[in-house]
Amino acid sequence: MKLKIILSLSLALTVPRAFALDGNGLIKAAASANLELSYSIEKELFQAYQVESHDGEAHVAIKANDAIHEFDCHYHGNEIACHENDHKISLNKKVLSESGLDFLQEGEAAALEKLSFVLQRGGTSLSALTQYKVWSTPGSGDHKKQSFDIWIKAIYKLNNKERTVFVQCHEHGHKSGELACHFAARGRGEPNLED
Amino acid sequence: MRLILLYLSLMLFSACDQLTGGSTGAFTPSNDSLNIGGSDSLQISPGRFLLSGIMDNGGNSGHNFSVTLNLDLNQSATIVFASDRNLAGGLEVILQRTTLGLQMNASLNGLSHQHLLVSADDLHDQIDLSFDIHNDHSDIHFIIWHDAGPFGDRDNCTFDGQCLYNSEDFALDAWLGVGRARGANWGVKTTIPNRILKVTGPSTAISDA
Repeated sequence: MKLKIILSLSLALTVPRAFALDGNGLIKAAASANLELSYSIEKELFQAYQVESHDGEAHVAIKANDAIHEFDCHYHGNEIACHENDHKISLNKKVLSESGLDFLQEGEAAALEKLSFVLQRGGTSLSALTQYKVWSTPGSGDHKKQSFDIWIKAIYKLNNKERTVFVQCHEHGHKSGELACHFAARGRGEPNLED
Repeated sequence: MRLILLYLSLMLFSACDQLTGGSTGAFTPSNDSLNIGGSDSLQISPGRFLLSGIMDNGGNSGHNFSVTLNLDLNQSATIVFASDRNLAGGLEVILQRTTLGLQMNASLNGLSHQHLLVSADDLHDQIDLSFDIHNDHSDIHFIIWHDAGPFGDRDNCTFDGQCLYNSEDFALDAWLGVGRARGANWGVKTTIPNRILKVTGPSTAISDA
């Protein structure tokens, strides 16, 4: 009897959870997949990434060095584990991004913090996220300051309605290194990470 | 010789006439001008006053403005920012004292938002406000403070007491895709100009957000 219980518990802990990841899980999945890829590709070569909920798992696509790397992520216990399942187009040359992984992730954090304020006022949280994409573009010239912008396209559910919003983040004026973000109805230079 | 002197005199009168701006449309104090809140203004039609001062870069810039008013119950005044010389195409901010307090109704390019800036309990007879208008982005961004501060400009400052209103806090609900205002002038629309006690601007923006 004890052996059966121990076996059942072991299975429960080791078999990936079969329920869909919420928005907070997607954020962890994106971070985990980016970390895993950064062991094999320099951070400066990261150009964009997106994460979405798919068949109970998080599907992460990362564009780095002009190749698309795809990961499936799921919970192992309380941790998210990601496995690369495909990468397409491999180039021998190095393709530098506008910003690199660190700045993409800074923009992601700033944009999601901004979005979380709005979602909290709507009675929900970042758990309402169903997918988001992060990329960079050369600066728009707004404020006549930025060298490049970080863009986030977020899709979330509020009051059972799916909504899409873009967030544009960049350095402002004299506060060097500090990102300011603005909601926008449309994005600029959105890459396609589906292929 | 007399003919030359006569010609030079005529030229001088002609030049002086051009310098008044009467023929160019430039803003100059005239019979239609009125002092509003310590600033020269030009009455462009009954109840509409163009205030002196022009925003940089044709209005594609960020500036601070301050306004002091004294409104009785149900009285209102409209401040227009980044408009053309006829006070069109700009951000309109209607301020009204109600039983609830100081109510604001802001509008631009077909979008609008109402918000209670100051509750009745906290509202004094004299209302001192500071406005940062950032019209140098895809969508206009504006923040309103008490003129004495605090001058918070972060997300959520409307709700944590660090500002009276931050349009970014309502960007998804009210202002998404609003665009820019379309001018560099500012002014007021009011039937009670004597209730506007002081205006200053455009000055250097307080916030860099």
